[in-house]
Amino acid sequence: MSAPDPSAVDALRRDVRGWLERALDPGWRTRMTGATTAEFVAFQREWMHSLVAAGYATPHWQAGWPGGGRSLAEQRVIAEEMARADAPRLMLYFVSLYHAALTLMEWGSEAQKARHLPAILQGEVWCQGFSEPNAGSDLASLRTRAERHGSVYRVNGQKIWSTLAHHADYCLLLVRTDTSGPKQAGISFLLMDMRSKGVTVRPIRQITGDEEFGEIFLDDVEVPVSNRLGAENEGWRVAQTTLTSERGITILELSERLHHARRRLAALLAGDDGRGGDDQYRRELVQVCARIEALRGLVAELMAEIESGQASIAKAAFVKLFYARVLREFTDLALRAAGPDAQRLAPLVLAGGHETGNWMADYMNSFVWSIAGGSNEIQRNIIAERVLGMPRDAAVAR
Amino acid sequence: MDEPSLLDPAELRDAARGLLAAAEAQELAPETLWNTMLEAGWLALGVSEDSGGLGQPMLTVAALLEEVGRRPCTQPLISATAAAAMLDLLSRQGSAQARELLDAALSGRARVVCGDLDPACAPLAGFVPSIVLGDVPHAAVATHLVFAAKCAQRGEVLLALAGEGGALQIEPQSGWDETRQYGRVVVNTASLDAATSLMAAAAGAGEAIRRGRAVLDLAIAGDSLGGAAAVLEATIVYMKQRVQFGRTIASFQALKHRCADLATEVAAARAALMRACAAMDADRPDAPLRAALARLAAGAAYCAVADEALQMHGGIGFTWEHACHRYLKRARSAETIGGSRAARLDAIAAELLGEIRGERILAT
Ligand SMILES: Cc1cc2nc3c(=O)[nH]c(=O)nc-3n(C[C@H](O)[C@H](O)[C@H](O)COP(=O)(O)OP(=O)(O)OC[C@H]3O[C@@H](n4cnc5c(N)ncnc54)[C@H](O)[C@@H]3O)c2cc1C
Repeated sequence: MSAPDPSAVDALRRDVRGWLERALDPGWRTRMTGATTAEFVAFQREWMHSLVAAGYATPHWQAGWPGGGRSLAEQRVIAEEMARADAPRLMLYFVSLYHAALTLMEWGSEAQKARHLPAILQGEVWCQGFSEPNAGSDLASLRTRAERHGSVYRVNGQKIWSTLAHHADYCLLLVRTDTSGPKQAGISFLLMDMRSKGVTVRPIRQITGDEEFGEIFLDDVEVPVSNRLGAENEGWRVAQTTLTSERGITILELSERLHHARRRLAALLAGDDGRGGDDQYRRELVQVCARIEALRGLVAELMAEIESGQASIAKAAFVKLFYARVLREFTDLALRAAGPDAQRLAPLVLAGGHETGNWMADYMNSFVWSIAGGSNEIQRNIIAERVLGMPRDAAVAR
Repeated sequence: MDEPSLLDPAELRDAARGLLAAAEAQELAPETLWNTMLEAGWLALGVSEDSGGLGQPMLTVAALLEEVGRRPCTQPLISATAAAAMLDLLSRQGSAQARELLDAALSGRARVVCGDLDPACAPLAGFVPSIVLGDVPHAAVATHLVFAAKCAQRGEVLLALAGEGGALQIEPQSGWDETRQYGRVVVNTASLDAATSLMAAAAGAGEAIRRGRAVLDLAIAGDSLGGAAAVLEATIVYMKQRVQFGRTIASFQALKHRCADLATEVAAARAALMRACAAMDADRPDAPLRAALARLAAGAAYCAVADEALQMHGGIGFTWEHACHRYLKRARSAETIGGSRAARLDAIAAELLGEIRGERILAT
C-alpha cells in the first residue's frame, strides 16, 4: 500500500462526492421502503454495477483488480462519503465483495481467483456456510462431513444462519475432513456451487419478518477437490481471514453512518419548542453522541493500527463490542422516544443501514451486531483473556 | 517566536510517575509537593511560550493529567491548569493584569484556581451585598479565584479575586473526597474593585470562559481516565491473586466480562479524549463541544470502574485502609465540578443540536 498523498486524497473525496451527487437517486429510500425481493435484487444489482463502473465497489481489493489497490486513506474517504451521502448498502454483495473476495485473494490459487473474482464484479452472489445448529460460538466443533472420493469431496451435513443463502451462487463452506485430532485441526475450506445436486436451501424468517438468512442442507453434495481453498485440514486458518474481513473499513463506514444518523434521531426528539424536546431524551441524546464520538475515536485508532500493519486483538475486540453497544443504545433511545408510533407495523427500508427511522426494526436489527460475527460475550472473553490476561475457564473445551 | 520543542508524552508520564512515587515515599507535605510540581513545569506545560509557559499541546497536558490521576492527590493541578489557560489567553491579548497573575501562579507566589465558569451562577447586581459561590474545589488552598459572573453594566465578565485581604471570604469545607479541598466562597461585592479584579468583559470574557471550560473538561477527563485505568489494573491484579472456591476470582466469567466491559469503556473514553485534544490543538471551533463530550465519557467510565472495583474487591474494598474508596469518591466528586451533570448535559445539548441541525459535521 502506498503512502497516502493528502492532496490526492482530497481530490478523491471531491470526486466521490460529485459522483454520488450524480449517481445516487435521492428517492432510493422511498423506493426501497417495503420493496419486494425482486425490486430489492434489481436495485442492488443496479447500484453494484454503478459502483463497479466508478471503481468504488472494490477499493479494498488488491492492486491489479478493477478498482483495487487503494491506500487505506483512500478506502476511508470512499467509505466516509458513502456514509455522508446516505448511500444504499450493498447487502446482496457484501459477502462476495468482502468475505469471499478477501479470502480468495489471500488463499486462492490463480485459477480460483481467475474463476471467481471477475465473476464477483459481474454480480456473483456468495454466502458464508460456517455456522451449524450445534456449532455457533464454538464454531470449530462443526460436524458437516466431507469425504474424499477421487477428485471430489462428498459433503453431508447442515449449515444454518447463512445470510443470503437463497440468493447465493456460491458458498464459503467449512467442513470436517478429519475427526481424529483437536477440533480446529480437521477442518477444510471449500468453495461450493449452490446449484450442485444435493443442496437444499430453506430461508428462515427473522424477527423483523424478513428472510435474510437460511438453512443449507447438504446431502451427498459433490464438491471438486480443486475447489478447496488452502490445504486439506488447514481450513481453520483460512476461515480466520474470512472472519476478520468485515473489520476495519466496514466498521468505519458503519460508525460514520451512525454519526450522520444523529440528525434522524435529533429530528425525532425535537419537540415543537426547538430545544430538542423532552428533557430526559435530550440528555440521553447527548450521552449517546458522546459515545458515538468515542466510537469514532476508537475506530480511528484501529485504522491507524491497520495502516501501520500492527492491528491488535485488543482494538478489534473493543471496536466490535463498543459498536454493538452504542448501536443498541442509539436504537433503544430512538425506540423509546418514538413511543407508540414506532409500535405500528411499518415496512422495512431494505439496504437502508441500521438507523432507517423504522425504529422498532432498527432496534431489533441491532442484535445482529451483538450476536453475529463473535457475540458480545465472545468479545468479552477475548478481552478478558487475551487483553487483560485473566485466566481461561478450565471447564471450557478448546 | 519559534515553535516550542515538543516533549514526548510517554517520557513525561514516566518522569511524572517517578516524581509522584518519590513524593509519596518521602511523605512530602502538600505545600512542598505543589512547588515540586511547579518546578517540574506541570502547570506551565500547556501555557504558551509567549506567556512564559512551555507551549505544549493539549495532548501532552492530558497525558500528564492522566498520569497524575492514577494516584489521587490533593494538588489543585486540574483547576489551576484551567485558570492558567484563561490567563494565558488574556495575556496574549495584551492584558498586563492577566500576565502578572499568571506569572505569580507559575512561580508559586500565588495559587490561582478557577471557580464556576457559568456566568449565570454569579449575577453581580448592584444591590446584592454579597454572593455565595458555593463550594469551590481547592478554594481552601487558593490565594486567587478566577470565575465567571454576569453584571448589569458589562454583561459576561471574568473576574480574578484575591482571598485573604481581598473581596473573597473563603471558608474551608470538609468533603467526602478529601482531595478536593473545597472552600465555601463568598464574594463581598461592596469591596469589588473593577480596576484590579476585572480580567475581561463581554466578548473577550466569553472567549476566555469558553477556553477555560474546555481545558477544565479535558483536564478532568484526563485525570478521570488515569484514575479509572489505575483502579481497573489494580483490581485485575488483585483478582488474579484472590482465591475462592479453589480458583482465582479472575477466572469467574461473571467477573471477567465485567472487567472486559470496563476496559472497553476506558479505551473508548480515552479515544474520545485524544480526539478532543487533537481538535483543541488544531484550534478547531468544535473543540469545546468535543471536550465536553470527552468529559462525559471519561466521567461515566470513572464512576463505573470505581463502583465495580469496590464490588469486585469484596470486604477489603469497603475498608478505609484500601485505596478503592479514594477513587470512588474522586470519581463522584468529579461529576459535580462545574455544575450538575444534568445542567452540563443541557448546556451541551444546545450546542450539539445546533451542530447537528446546522449540518456542521464533526470531521473525522
Ligand atoms: C443476523 C445473523 C446473520 C448471520 N449470518 C451468518 C452467516 O452468513 N454465516 C454463518 O455461518 N453464520 C451466520 N450467523 C451465525 C452467527 O455467527 C452465530 O449466530 C453466532 O456465532 C452465535 O452462535 P449461535 O447462534 O449458535 O449462539 P450460541 O453460540 O449458542 O450462543 C448463545 C449464547 O451463549 C453465549 N455464549 C456462547 N459461548 C459462550 C462462552 N464461551 N462464554 C460466554 N457466553 C457464551 C453467546 O454469547 C450467546 O449469548 C448469523 C447470525 C445472525 C444473528
